[in-house]
Amino acid sequence: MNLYEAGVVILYTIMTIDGVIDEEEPKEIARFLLNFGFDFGEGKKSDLPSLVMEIGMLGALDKQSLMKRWKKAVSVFAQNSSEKECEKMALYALDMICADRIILPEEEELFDNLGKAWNIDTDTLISNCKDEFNKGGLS
Amino acid sequence: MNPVFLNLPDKKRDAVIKACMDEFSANGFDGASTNRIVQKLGIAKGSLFSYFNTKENLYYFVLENAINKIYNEVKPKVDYLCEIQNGANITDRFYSLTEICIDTYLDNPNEFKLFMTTLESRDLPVSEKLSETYSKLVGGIYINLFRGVRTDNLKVDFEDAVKVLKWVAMGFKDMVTAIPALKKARIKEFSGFLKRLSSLKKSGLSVFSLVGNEKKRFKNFALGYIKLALRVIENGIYKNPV
Repeated sequence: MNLYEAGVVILYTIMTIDGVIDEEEPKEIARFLLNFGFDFGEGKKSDLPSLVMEIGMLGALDKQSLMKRWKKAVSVFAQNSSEKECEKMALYALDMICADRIILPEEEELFDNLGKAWNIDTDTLISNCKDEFNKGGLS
Repeated sequence: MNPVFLNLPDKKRDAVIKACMDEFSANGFDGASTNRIVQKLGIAKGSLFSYFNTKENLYYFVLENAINKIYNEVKPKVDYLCEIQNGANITDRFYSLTEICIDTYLDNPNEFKLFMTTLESRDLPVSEKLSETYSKLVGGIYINLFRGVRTDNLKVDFEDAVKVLKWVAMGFKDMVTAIPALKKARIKEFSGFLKRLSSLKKSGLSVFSLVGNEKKRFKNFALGYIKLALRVIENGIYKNPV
């Protein structure tokens, strides 16, 4: 698993954790795929067909296997990227969580898990997000 | 884009799209020449820019058009496949998907080339402009490719199977180095394919320039290669080497 495949696994897991794929959610994976190379530097770009395959293959996994892959992805991403890149990836994850304007406990738990592994203050990010929702922002 | 362009007669509009597609897919964004496009179409350069204002706008329009064309061709086929192959094993699904992909490649070489080269070249930041269009591919096709398939026919670890399938999907590059185990177990079989591939390359052919019988030959070649890769993951590369 490389950096981009790990990114795809992270976003896919958040997208499917509630068992429903909202139509806004695939847009976040699309943004991530279209941005690779720009966000993480030329040396770290990955082949698109490989990423497409990763997304497809994840659909064949049951929840337990998907969570196993999530753990690996979180670790692979941290090992192969800088602190700044982890922060960028966490923001993609946050955008994915907020895409349908509902933050579920399962999503929050995954994001919290990411924050602990990458040493990022995800509590503040989530609470800022909730504040924005309450104000009617982040549409 | 100027709405005047959308109101042009179908034939004229399609000719503009095709000429732009040919130019951008052959030369990329930076190398493409709007002079060549207007020359080919026999129209004034001012007309082209009155429709799109900038070369970038033109490029995004053509690219979006290409993605939509690919989506509209592939989506119903993938949906149908998922319906008739519900509960199929992963290798059968992969083989069928590959056939769909190869046919779409061969029928729309310029659209595919434009799409792939744009995403690989990083000439332009395409993310914001294309995320709506591209998310259709992600949400409508990519995430459904293997949904609901069985994996109990695999004799190799799922992780290894994924590696083989990715490596197949990534085309023929780096094929031997992708999985060291293949080097050990099946190198003789794969070397035959490598030789044939190398002769294809030397003759200057690519999947984007195949015509007539060459298309059929390429399809047979690619499907044979894929069958072989699928046999590897079904039979187990360590347990049952040829």
